[in-house]
Amino acid sequence: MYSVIITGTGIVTLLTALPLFAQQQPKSLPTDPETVQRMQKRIDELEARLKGVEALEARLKAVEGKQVQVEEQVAEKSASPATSSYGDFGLENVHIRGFGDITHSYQFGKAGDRNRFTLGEFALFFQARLSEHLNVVGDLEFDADLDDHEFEVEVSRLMLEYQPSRYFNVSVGRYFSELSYYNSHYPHGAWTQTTIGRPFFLSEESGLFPVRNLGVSISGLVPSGKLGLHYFAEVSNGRTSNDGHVFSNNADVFDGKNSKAFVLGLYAQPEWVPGLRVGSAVRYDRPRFVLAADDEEDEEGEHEDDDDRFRGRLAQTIINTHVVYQTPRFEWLNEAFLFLHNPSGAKSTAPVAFYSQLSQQFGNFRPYLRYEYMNGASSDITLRHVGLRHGPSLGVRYDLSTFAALKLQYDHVWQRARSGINGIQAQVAFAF
Amino acid sequence: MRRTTVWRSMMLGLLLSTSPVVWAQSNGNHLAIVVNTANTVEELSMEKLRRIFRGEEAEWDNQAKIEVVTRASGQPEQEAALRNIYGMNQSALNAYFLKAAFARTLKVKPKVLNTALGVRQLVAGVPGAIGIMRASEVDKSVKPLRINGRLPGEAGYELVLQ
Repeated sequence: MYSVIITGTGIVTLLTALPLFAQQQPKSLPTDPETVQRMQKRIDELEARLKGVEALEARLKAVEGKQVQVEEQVAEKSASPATSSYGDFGLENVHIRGFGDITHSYQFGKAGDRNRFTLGEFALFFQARLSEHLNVVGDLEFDADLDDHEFEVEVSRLMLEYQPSRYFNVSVGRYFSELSYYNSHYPHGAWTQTTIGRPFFLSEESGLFPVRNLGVSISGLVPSGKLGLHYFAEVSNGRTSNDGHVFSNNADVFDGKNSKAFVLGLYAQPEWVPGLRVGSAVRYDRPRFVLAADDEEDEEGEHEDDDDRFRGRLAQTIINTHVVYQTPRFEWLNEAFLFLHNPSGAKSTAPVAFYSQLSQQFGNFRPYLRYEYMNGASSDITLRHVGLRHGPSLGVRYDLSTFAALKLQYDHVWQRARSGINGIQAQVAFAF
Repeated sequence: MRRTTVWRSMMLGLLLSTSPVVWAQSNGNHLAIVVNTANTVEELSMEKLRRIFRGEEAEWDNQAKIEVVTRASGQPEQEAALRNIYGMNQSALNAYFLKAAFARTLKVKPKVLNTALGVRQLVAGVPGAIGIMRASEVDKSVKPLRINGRLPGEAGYELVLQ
């Protein structure tokens, strides 16, 4: 640009000098030696000035060239593999992140262990790019077992993703089911969640919801213009139940009877309402369950002998509907579930569950409110131990830094035929 | 008389020769969204732009892979992108990308460059690339996009630097 300025200036200077000559010239050409000499001198001066301008231009070009060279080096440096999303597919494309949390909880009116610290899950998240379309994703989870006072290590996610097109992506391995928005968007890691934990019926501890699957998952975009329609489908091992009440948390590792679970879902993210997502999904499974006929424990606290237990299959259909509105500052998550249970030799039931979560960011503070509800019918062979359970959680999240948050939450839970739960929790959650 | 005329002429020459600067200054307060010249896309809605820059969109309509190029944290162009496109500060954006990666919703991780030259070179060299730069720094090697129907420099253009 400087060169343009200088060249222009030089040219214009020369051009503007010519009229001056013209003004000074008499009507007839000068013939006297003095005038000719003066004109010659003037031309020499202008030529000298032009040479000076040209020299200056050359110097500026050289400086500009060096500047470009430096900028290129900076650009090249900033485009190093550490921040590159393509290029080499070597070890530099392996990323490891960690999540952890420590929670203190206090329950009002509870006898015994009502005031304690717990070490939440410590998860290591691995991500590696193998080629332009192939990724490996894995989570290694270290959980404190509060009953056995031991730590358990679990490969909570391990999947190979093949993403050739926005219309078709396929994953194979162990993954978090997309049946629930919350389950797939906040797989684990307390830091990723606004609240201290998941809604009760979506927690792994409850065993009610198929949190993870082992199998194949496909997903993609449906050509739908500004409607932003997406589909997903999952085929995985079915679940089983061996502990008398709930489905085993690890049942997704295998299914002893070879039955498979199927998930099919659709959701829309309309372009005309930024942040809105509306969708529905259905899951069908025929989990095997083993249940004590009277669901009672013996004197030693164990379930009755296997011979006395009821064995059967449960035709289970879970229907999810969600409406989510999420912007960087505001979130309103709503999910409802209908469990259609048709057990062999027992009464069919249709328990329901839902939650609604609202939060708004104010600076580093994010106050939130969640209300959750679950009604496990007393006649439901798998959910009667839950019964009716509902209540609010009110809390605030304070972001200490980009990757660390402090949360304080009050919970109140009403339960049918049981005393309610009333407690507060404080949690520090982080990612690194 | 002669000196005044020369000086005026030089000023005029400066003005004429620096007319690109004058043009650029009229666009200088706008943040341009540029793509590769081979990209057939001419216009994006603001919402589509947000989705692309948040890494939620993986491909263009012609199935070319999207590569998002942003500027380093603290640079005016990035500040403008945070304000106009992302709607969050850099810290929240960093957290957002980690959460999205963890939830497997992040399709494209933005590439961060330090200079307009770097952005221009990358966008010019990668068919699916899309980047940000000052409107005054746009040249023929890249193509500025209309955002919500307007080009940088036009009245009502929404991506403003300051």
